[in-house]
Amino acid sequence: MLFNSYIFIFIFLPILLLVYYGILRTIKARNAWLTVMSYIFYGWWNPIFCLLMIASTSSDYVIGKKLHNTESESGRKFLITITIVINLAVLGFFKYYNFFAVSLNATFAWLHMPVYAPVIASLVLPIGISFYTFESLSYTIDIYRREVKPANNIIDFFCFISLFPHLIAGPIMRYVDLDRQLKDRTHSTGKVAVGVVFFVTGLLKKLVIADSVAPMADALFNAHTHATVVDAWLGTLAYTMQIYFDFSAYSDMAVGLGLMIGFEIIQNFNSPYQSVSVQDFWRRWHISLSSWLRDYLYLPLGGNRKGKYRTYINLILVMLLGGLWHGAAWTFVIWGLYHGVLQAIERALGPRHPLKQLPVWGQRLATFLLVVVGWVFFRATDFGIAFRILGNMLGYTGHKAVTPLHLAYPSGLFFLAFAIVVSMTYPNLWKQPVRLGWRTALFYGGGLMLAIVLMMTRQNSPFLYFQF
Amino acid sequence: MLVVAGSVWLSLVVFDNVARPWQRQPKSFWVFKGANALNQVPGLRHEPWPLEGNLARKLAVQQLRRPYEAGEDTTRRWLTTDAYGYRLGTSSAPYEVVLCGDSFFDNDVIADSVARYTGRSTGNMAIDGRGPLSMSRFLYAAPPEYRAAKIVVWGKEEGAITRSEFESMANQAVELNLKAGPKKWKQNWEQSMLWPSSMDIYFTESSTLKMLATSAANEASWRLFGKHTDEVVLGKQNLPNGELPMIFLRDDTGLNKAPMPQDLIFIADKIAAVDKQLRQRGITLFFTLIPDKTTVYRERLPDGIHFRGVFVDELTGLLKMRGVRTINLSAGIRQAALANKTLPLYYTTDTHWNKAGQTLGARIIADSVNRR
Repeated sequence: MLFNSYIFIFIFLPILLLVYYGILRTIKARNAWLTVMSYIFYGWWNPIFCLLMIASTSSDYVIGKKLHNTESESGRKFLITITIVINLAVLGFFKYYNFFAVSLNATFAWLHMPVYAPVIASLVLPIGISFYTFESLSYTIDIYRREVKPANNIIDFFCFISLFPHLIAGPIMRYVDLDRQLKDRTHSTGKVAVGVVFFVTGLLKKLVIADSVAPMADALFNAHTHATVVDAWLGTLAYTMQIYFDFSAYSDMAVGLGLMIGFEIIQNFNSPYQSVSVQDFWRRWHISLSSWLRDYLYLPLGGNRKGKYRTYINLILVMLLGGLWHGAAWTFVIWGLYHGVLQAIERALGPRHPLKQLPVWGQRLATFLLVVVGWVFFRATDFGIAFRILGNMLGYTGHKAVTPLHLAYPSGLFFLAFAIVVSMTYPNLWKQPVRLGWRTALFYGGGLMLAIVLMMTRQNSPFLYFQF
Repeated sequence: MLVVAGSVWLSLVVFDNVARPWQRQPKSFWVFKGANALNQVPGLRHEPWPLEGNLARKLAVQQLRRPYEAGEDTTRRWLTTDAYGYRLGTSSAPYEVVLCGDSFFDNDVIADSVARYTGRSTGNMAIDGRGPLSMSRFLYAAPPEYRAAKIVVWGKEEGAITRSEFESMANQAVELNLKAGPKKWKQNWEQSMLWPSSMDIYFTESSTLKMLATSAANEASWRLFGKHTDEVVLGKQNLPNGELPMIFLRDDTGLNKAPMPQDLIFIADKIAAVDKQLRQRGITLFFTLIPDKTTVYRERLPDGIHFRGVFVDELTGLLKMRGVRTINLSAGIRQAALANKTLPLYYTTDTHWNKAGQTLGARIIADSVNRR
């Protein structure tokens, strides 16, 4: 189910809130209701996928309990190994099996070796599996580290994993963040009102900005010929804005929906295009993922405690795996590697880094350009397309035919310019005080109307991060 | 904040659900897609069928529609379906001739006209928008009344001749041949109204708000920016000699790319395979390509919009090489349209042929069937 769909806004959400506030009174009953509705929300694409999530959640709940009760270190290590293996095996199979099979087959074919790994054509990636697998893993690992106690009851744990605002595309929540809220959370009209503000803001970011610039990005990346310099830059910048406004919109809506049901969900974006370095970018972009990678991958690998070269390797490895997490394609791996190398260089050079010699606005601009280059690999479906577009951005087309894509149409350009200015200069919603008065009410009421009209008159467009 | 936003939201929800019963409903509420798709609700009787042109609906700008609606054929017709959801005509079962096809055959006139001109009882298994499915259902799931047919006329709209349409026949064959059991129950559920995505589409597409918002957005776009939908091409106005202006679909073959040669070969092979299957059952197949409106009325396209030509001869040639009997509707209808320019054979605000076009098409089909 999409947040920006008729069925969610006109049927699912009204029923959820009516029963939540109108009928149910206890936290336990409300958690149970949220769990049921979250499974309906998740199963809307394909109810069969719910079985996998139930199995994964149940096994982690049981292992979490056993982990907490087991005293011997060997037993605890065994249990944590089991849960990591199970979770990563499930994720690996659904997400990466075909990718590695195809890559292996290509390698063996190149080596003229008669080895063939079967490709499963009907293998479908269950939506949200990357997100809820990481949440499950963080739960059991935190229990192993004795940072958190297991969930009081299975309903609370199911509610944590399946909570619909963050289930499909994050933020990746830790159990420690939601534990207290599952047992006891406050509900107030102020909270719901702020939730509406976040929800409507997210809707408008998605429907007005992200969906308006998306055709420019699609036109560039789906074309099979070289583009003009202007088109290459316009299309790439359009994707840069699309992915930010699309993904941050989802996070805003997740936060808003969470507030409507009393949950305080963490911030996932902190004006990433105002970063002054690539390391700063990763403290502002998809914060829940980068902090997960830091706490559960980078630090266990040694972090920066094992010498500078090991630090660089750890940084590169973590970013490489972070790229792979986004999708089963070598372009994602290269994107991750690219960011890893940039961060390692920043780390190595420290204050001598060329970026640091620029004024703040120069650092922001240079970081933005570095990030834009990375997005070309992220969006392109293969390296040929990525290098072609990068070449076009520099004016290089060789002797190949160039096709003007006519990307410079007024409304697209307007929204692209607006998006660039806002993302690079304006404070985000978390930094702005929300004054709940008549003007805010009229503004967001009008925004809700506009969002509903836009939703009605367009084809449903899913959020970009659903594919991860 | 909550009062304003909540009131807006609540009033929209209530309005949409209260107004819903008065809105157009999608066909076949209970089965929606896949090989179980019906054409209409079974046993539907005497529902009056007023025409609202599909092009007029897409255009959604009243001011632009008006000149074209002036000459529209708006005769109300009765819609009746049999127990299987197929269009019921005046012929009695068992049917000797069966029509399979898409929306061009899914009307009240064509089967009755074919029956009148051939003197043979004619049934109609056409399914709106699903020409290949219509044939698949005849092959694997024909109701008893249709199984005695000795002649099948398979009609496909020119613009809907695509490789993917014919590729889908393989899956349809599997679905229709599935025996009762867990796989069949799963399939029935996935194809039914209760499957979440079907419910989603149903609620969204039948939403009053969606229709009102789309109309309002189109009208606003026209009045403020002079823009209307790209899907529709407005034909020439002020035509001589009493000729009626037409609206066209931009996706019509004449304005769009024709199938690639390799796709035409694939399609011809698929049709030939169906022909072979039917011959083994003693049934003669006639395949006919029904011309798009742009093919018949290309002179009424506006200046600057170029007609790109048709592929009917190529496909007919490929089918003849494979021994499939064909009926050339394009030549006959085009000739009649040029001979009598004041009698439209297609609706002015719809993509389909009107009663005159259907009657003429039926006569051409009947001539071929009678010459068999």
